[in-house]
Amino acid sequence: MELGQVGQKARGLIVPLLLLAVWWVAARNGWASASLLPPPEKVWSTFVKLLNEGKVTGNLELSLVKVAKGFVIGIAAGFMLGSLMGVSRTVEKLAGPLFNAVRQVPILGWIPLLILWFGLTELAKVIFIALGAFYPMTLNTFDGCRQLKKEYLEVARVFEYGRLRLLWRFTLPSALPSILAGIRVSMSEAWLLVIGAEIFFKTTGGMGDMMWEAKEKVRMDVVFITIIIIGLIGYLLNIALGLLESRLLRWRGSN
Amino acid sequence: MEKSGTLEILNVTKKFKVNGDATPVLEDINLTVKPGEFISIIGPSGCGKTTLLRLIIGLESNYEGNILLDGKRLNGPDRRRGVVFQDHRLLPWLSVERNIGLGLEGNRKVNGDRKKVVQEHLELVGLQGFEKAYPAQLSGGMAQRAAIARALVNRPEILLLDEPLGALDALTRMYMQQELEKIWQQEGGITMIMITHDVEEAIYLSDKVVIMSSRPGGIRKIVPVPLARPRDRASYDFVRLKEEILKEFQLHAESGFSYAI
Repeated sequence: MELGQVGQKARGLIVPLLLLAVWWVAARNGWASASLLPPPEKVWSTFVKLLNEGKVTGNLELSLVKVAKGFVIGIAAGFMLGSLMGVSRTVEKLAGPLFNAVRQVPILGWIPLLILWFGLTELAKVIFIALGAFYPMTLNTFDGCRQLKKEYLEVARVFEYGRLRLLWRFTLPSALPSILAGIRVSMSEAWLLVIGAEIFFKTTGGMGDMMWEAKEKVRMDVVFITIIIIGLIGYLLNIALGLLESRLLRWRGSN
Repeated sequence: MEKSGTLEILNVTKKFKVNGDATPVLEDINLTVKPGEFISIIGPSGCGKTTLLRLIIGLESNYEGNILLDGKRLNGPDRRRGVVFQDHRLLPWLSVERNIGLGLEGNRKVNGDRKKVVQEHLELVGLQGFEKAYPAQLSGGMAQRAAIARALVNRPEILLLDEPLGALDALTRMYMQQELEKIWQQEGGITMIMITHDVEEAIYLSDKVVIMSSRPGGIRKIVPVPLARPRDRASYDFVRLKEEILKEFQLHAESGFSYAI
């Protein structure tokens, strides 16, 4: 059983390892020029060097802090708006149309405005990330709150529950699966946007900036390193949230 | 003073709007339920029995006539009337213990230790040991026990049961009927009004069986069940009563020696 599970997990490594092999063979045989496709061992040695200089961890920390700020602000605001619209038809009628109209503006479309208002500051980047996390969180929380079954509502009425107790005991727990899905989408959105923010709101520091700088200097090995790290961190964040999710939703049972 | 909890249903008519026309679902219902009685309401599907129960619970409004509890017109649900729904309606995100405790929340009239009250009711329905289980981990019968405990936790005067055993398999169902009778006796003085479509279940449990007719729903007949408890489903009087009630629906009870064709 245990061995079988390990086998299952290991299967996910087959394709990446195969790609690595193709890459290694291609670089070795000079199928592409070394400046466009640096060999894996070169990427690795650069990685070790950058790690020793503290550049990888330093830039990663800058990005993660930005993401954390934007993510927390975004999901907090999304949770508030989503749950308010979810429980109150009045709020939905007041805020819903504006929210749905504003949502049509692509996130990238906010960059000029944010730059003009806040300059190339940390704040502008955090707002940009928060905005990306805000939309999915709002939508998922709203949907979740609306899904409270009429049958449960009747139980609450029989027990003479007030609005707050209804929200706390019935509406929010029943919306939890949807809210957690929202948090997950928001997290990956935030991680995506921090790289964009660091490229577009040109300042120093962060994984996006490291990547852009490497491109300017045509350091393909560094570009590769940043791509791999960004992908890996996003993947790990998703796994962490998945674990949190299965812990919080264990009442759903195994089947 | 008399024991409280007399329920009077006086000239109650309920109409539902269908395509703009008001169609009567219930017409001129009259029924008095005394404190401590066990009443079953039985009738073909679509006769409005569930609507009648929902009116008594207070989940339906806008009716003609009066529904009075101790002479006062009912206005919406309250904790004096507990409800057991056909689908147990336990909250899947709460453990059995916390589901049962739900009813106590916000109820200022509960004196003393709430945990103890929950524990007592867990024992009443025989769910000790399952305090921490989630509803998804329970069988249908166990879930319905938890639902009964949850409905009783506020010590309501009247317990309203909407086909509470309808979704259970035949054996569990017979067992739960015994349990329900035991609970009714232990909760001394509680009134129970149960919707069912099972004639035997109605006779086994009730002091009176209310037979409804359909389109529009009305009370066709009220049959008292004067048999001593616990009742023997195979006894002559039980079977005769079953025959009598089934005749109301133009059906006949299977006789002891029928052959399958």
